[in-house]
Amino acid sequence: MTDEISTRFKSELSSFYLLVLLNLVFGALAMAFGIQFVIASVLGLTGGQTTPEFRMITGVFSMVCFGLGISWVLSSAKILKGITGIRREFRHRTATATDETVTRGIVRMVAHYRENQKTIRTMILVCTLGGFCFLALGIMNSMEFFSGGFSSGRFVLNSYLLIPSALLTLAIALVSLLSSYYFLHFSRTWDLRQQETAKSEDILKKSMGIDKE
Amino acid sequence: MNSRRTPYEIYWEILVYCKSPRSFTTIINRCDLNSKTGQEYIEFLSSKGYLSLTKDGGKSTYVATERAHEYVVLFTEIYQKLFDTIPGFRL
Repeated sequence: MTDEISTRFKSELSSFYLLVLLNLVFGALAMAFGIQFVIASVLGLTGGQTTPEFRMITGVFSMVCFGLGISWVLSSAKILKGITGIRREFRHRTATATDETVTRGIVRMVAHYRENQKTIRTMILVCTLGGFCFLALGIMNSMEFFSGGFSSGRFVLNSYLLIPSALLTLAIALVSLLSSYYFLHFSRTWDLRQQETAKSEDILKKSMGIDKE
Repeated sequence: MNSRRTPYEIYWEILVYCKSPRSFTTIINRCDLNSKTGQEYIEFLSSKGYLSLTKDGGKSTYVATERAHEYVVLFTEIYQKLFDTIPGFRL
């Protein structure tokens, strides 16, 4: 039984590690893009453009994205720190882990989740909000590629150089929404495990004879 | 492991570590406890017959008893079952 559980635990740990690492990278990208769009919006405002309102809205959204990016990076770093320590014991292990090692890993993971439950819930919220903000930002920036009108039926692509930036913004939005989905899935799995450990406390109490006191 | 652990998780850690005789200081260091809480946990486990104190000269060591083995086995079963019965998380 330990072999199978050890493999499952290792694979679950690696999946979560990858998810948090990906979040850290995309959180940093979100911060960078957020600040880039703030600067671009401010420069656009001073450039005497015909639609300053649109620039202002983009600027505000960029500011929100930058703030969410900071929160995203900080939360990811906090979770990553704990998970790296737990993973270290299993990472380079080629031989089958003993019952004791696997249980220690599980106990550490249970305690880590218990400690970071709030942060993980914040991550779900930040990823969802960030996803929608970046989606809005991506759409707003995509709109800037084109000029023209519905009356003429003609749309002109303004600059090819803007395409990679808009695509990256949309990619960040997608990763952000996917992350929130996976965090939610992870959270549900571990909530169930927390409930199980709480239930099992009665069994342990009985075995120690504490319930009679 | 300085995170939020339940007393049962701490009992398990102490008992597993005390499979061979250990001094009070090494127990609290290994199990990440301060001396006050460490003393409380060790006293509790000793009072329940899970740890026995041996004095060899001036050195006192604690070792897990046969009764402790039952607790360790039960705890291990319960915690490993978490990965056996609940569908896991995968990317």
